[in-house]
Amino acid sequence: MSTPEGGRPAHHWCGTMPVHHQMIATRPDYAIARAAIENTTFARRNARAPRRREVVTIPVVVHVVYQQEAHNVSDEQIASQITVLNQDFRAANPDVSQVPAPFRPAVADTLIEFALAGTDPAGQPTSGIVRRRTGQAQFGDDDAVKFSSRGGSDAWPADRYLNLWVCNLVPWLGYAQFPGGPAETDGVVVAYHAFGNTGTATAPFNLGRTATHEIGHWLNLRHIWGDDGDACSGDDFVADTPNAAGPNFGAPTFPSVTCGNGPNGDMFMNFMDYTDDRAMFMFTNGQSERMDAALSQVRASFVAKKVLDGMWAGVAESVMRT
Amino acid sequence: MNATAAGLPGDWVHAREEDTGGAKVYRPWGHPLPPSRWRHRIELRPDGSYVDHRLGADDRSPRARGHWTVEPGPRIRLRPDDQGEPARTLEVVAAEPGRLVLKDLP
Ligand SMILES: [Zn+2]
Repeated sequence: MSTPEGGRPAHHWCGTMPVHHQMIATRPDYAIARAAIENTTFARRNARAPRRREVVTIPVVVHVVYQQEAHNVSDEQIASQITVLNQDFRAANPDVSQVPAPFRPAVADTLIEFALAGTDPAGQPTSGIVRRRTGQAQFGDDDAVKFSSRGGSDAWPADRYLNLWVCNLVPWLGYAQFPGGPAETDGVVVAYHAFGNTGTATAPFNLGRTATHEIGHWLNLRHIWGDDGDACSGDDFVADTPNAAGPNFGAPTFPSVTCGNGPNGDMFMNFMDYTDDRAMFMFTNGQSERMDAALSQVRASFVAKKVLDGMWAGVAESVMRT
Repeated sequence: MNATAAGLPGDWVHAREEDTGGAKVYRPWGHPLPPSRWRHRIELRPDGSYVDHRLGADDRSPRARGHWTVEPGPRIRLRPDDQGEPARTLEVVAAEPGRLVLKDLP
């Protein structure tokens, strides 16, 4: 949730930011970049900057890093993940019909699509899939999978591709990097058993929603509970996701009330909660606006110039472009 | 550390499926649990240090380190090495081999 539009001066952002402790502590340039991105995001909202009407398609490179052949996910499984992304980000997923009535007006078609890259960084035709056999039995959340020198696969240029690594990730299902971080680690990582909706995808994380969630982060979305543990003080900087306590797990029954957010309770069916794949099926308009803000600045390299100009039309020069 | 600390040191992971009455059930790291997007893990080391595997905004698990002591109750007092972070107190509801039940105190 968020305070009403304009109710919070943008410069308070640093004081309310909870984590990325590690990167912020070790990389002050990252902290500065993050603050600038949030300032521009708030300023666009306050200025009622134009919303994008054209579809943006993000080229994706999938790096499959495997020691065991069983983790070498098939082309078909990769295609299934791309299909899921194109449904989820366009509100074209069949289960969007399960959104409870009070939340239906908030459902967003984000006008973002994904396609396996057809051209590699050298300009040559590609399948958009890189397969690397590794000596590493497993990977953690330390970015090793993103470097050939550490048994992984090097990122393609982050201003032209969304890098998506699939590997034997332990102990959880995925992790992301917010916009503004180093290009060589930019992208998302997903466990082979939580990727796509066929092959090695395993219930209850077998509908491709882990990648949907992680790419939400890559486009600057925060968790709907506000990343404050189980408290009610955190914020996802989005107005139409109700204030919620901590993450929801499994498949809750509507309504699930926390933080005095009755009668409708937590929006646990939002992609940015922690529910099972079959229990999450929507982004909101506020989240879509936030992703648009990312695409208008720090992710602008994915947007055609004409479209980009439209997103800034009529916005005062004082709204800084990051 | 003192005599009441018996059973407390260990590498513990939250088995939320077993939670009851506002208390959190922890099992030893490695205990078979269903896959999850995240579980809280805390290493209470015998030397009095701890590693708290927290939940990061980007789904990583940033590690917070500090020192732990046992207070009457018994309670566990966690004092982060980061001076900017507040200390926390956990009530020990039960401490059995292979099972630790904790409750957050305000
Ligand atoms: Zn997340």
